[in-house]
Amino acid sequence: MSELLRLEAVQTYIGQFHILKGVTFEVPRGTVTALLGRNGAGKTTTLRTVMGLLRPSAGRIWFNGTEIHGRPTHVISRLGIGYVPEDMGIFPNLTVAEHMQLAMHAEDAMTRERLAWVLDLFSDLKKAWRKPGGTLSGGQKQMLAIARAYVNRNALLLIDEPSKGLAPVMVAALIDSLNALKGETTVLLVEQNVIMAAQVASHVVIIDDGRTVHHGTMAELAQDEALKRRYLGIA
Amino acid sequence: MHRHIGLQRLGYGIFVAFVLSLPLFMHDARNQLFILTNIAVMAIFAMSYDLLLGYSGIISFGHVLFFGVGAYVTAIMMKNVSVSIPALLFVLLLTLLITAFLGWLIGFFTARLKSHFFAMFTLAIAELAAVLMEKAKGISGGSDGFSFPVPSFFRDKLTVAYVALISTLVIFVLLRLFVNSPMGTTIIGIRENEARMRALGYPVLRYKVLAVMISGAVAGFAGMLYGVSMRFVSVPSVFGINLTLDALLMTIVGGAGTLVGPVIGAVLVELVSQWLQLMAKSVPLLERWMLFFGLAYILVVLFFPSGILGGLQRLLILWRNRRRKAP
Repeated sequence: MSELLRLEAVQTYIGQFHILKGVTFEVPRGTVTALLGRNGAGKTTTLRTVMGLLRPSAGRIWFNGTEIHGRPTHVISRLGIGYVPEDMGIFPNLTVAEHMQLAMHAEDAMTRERLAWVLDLFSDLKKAWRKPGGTLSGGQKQMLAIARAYVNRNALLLIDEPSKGLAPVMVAALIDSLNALKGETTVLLVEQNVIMAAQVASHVVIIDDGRTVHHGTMAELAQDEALKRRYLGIA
Repeated sequence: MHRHIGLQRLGYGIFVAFVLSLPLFMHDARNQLFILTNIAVMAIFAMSYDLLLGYSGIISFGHVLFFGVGAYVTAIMMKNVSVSIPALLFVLLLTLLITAFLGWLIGFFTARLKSHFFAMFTLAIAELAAVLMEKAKGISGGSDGFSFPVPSFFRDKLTVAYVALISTLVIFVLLRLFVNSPMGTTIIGIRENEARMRALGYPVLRYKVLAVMISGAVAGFAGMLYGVSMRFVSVPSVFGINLTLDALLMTIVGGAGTLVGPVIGAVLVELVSQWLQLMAKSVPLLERWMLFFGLAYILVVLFFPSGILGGLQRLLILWRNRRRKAP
């Protein structure tokens, strides 16, 4: 079994709206897979469904060989899936220190080591250690949201538009960090910035109007101008 | 930094000494001691309410249920079983157990509800309990209530005032330890973003139920203290919805999401209502003192949305920033 995450014909409604109408793809172990598509294609909904924040009405989801659809979110999280939501989900009244304390699943030496690594990566967070989340800048919030997911040794990270609101130099640092995680952590990355996605992802999934329309490697996509024009609006 | 902490400790020490010396100045005035005790009881009740409203973001309109249970457990045990200090300690244990269990029951079945549904549901349960107690006149005494004896130690108003004040301090310290613990941070995290806490791996429902249980047990303790100080219970006086509204008012006026806030709120609301009632005797207009209270409440919510404590904090920050800007 080479894939870490597998979705099969997943359908999700939000209220009365049919958002995912059949999403099927696999995320190979140890890779960064980019989930691309136009605005409103269902990328965020796909991540939220995997995380259990939305319940799929049909279809199945496997993580590491276990079925996870319909399970409570906190159980899915503890199985080893970290999630960086698009809205970052920063707690306005808790300090950066408290955010990290809440995020750490364990207090062992390894987690503390990872915390040190994360804080080296995003040194801004170290400076803002005692500041409440609500007073951070947009970029710092994004770093904190990513740091929360990095601090645990998760098998899979679901990251929703991490480059949004980050300065170019931080995007570069983010790309480096994602490349550094390769091998031990598998990443499913939602990204509008196709150029950034191309620098880190080896595999790519494109969804359009709630359906998977393409599934392959980044190299293939780079050469397929028609595909890029049709589903991503670029050429 | 160290000096700052030292000063803060000294400040706390002076404050505690001041509060504990209050009853001494009121020695002969039984009415003043009574008001002081009442403030302490309501401060505990309001702190327990704030644990839900301010810290957990749970709005309950039925909080009085726990208070009423605490008061009635005390009354029934003292009247029918035994009047002694050990019996009272047993009452304490029983009150905490029953109210925590009730908190678990209510939390378990309703904490998954969205905020306003939870608020309505708790209101319904508390009102139902009040009606049932009213019907069970044989046990509760209904609207007329009944008086009961307490151990001789608690017959002195001064002693009761001290017990109430010390209890307030102890509860304050315990709740402070709780909200500053990792568990407290978790509960605040749930208030700020429930979905995010779930995605971080926290069983949100379990923590919410725990908050309702702790809050309920503290409210039950306040009810017990009320019973001991009054030596009288009746359904309207310990199960009336106005008590929940008082706690809500105190929390909002003082500042929700802090523990000092509800205490300040309890002091203010009790003192102002006493003063308005007193003034009503000479100024006929103030006979409608509740009306003025409502007006004051609206003004606070409009101009101090984060309570008096929040308002003061804002003023302090403004003042500091201005001073920094000056050359």
